[in-house]
Amino acid sequence: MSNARATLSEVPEEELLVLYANGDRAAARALTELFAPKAFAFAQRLLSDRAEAEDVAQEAMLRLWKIAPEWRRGEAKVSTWLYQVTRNLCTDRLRKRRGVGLDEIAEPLSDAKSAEEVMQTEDRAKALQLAMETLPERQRAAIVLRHFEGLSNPEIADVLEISTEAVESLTARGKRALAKLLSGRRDELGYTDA
Amino acid sequence: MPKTPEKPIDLDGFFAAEKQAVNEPSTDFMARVLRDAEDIQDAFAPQAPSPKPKPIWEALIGAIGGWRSVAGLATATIVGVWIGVSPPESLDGLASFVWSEDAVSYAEYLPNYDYTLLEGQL
Repeated sequence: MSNARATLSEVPEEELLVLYANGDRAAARALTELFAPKAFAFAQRLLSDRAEAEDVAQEAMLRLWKIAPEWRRGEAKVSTWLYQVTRNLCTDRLRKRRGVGLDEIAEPLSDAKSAEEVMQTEDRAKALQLAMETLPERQRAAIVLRHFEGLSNPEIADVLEISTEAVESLTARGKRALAKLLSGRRDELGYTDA
Repeated sequence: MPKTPEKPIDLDGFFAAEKQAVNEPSTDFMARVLRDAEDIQDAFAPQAPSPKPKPIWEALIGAIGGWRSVAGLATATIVGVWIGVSPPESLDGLASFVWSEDAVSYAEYLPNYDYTLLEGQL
């Protein structure tokens, strides 16, 4: 698969989508290689479930394939659109899983105990994942997009359909919450500098 | 003794650890996504345009044998006109013979149309 990506690596996202809509098989491969891992990683971090993340990412990519012939050039970045769709699909899954509206979920600090318990036996990554699960969905999405997907604040604002200032506020609150959750048991993690 | 203020937690270290821990997408997943892409692509691939009706002049050219026949006809026409306008000297004798009475007498030896009809040759 890497050949398709190498030959089309210089082609902008939108051009790739146009090529795909015109029946170019190499563009289909290049888009798959470029976007499927992003959608999967984003979904996995929001859902903390590999199988569900694959289902969601596949569905998001399916929607991308279907919309390709009608894609309006210059209106949105393909990656932004894909993150939006992936996030919406994840939100639906989380709602079904929890049975309550995401915005109704309480702020996370009271759930710190579950993360602390796991820190005793799990590594930093697992501790962070668990801590992130306790964040409200929007905070979590903002942090994932900023710190794992490498998006800028304006790009995150596009994905979450909020202002840039709101993004800054979300990530700041999310990081404060994570720091509070994780700092309680830093000694148990064995990181004296943490 | 006053308590030493706690150092802020190194969140970036946790983020880095988490990045390493997240699994890569499986090859099966990537294959499924690509299969979807190709299936959808096949569904909206542009249909082959229906053949346009040929213009009438093209049909006429086809009826007389194509462009080669047209070229032959054109050449013959030009040569005919040229001979008519400026006949070569060698044709002078032939032309005078054709229009002479001798030519008519030679024609008498040919079977006439009625006779041919009676013989059932036409």
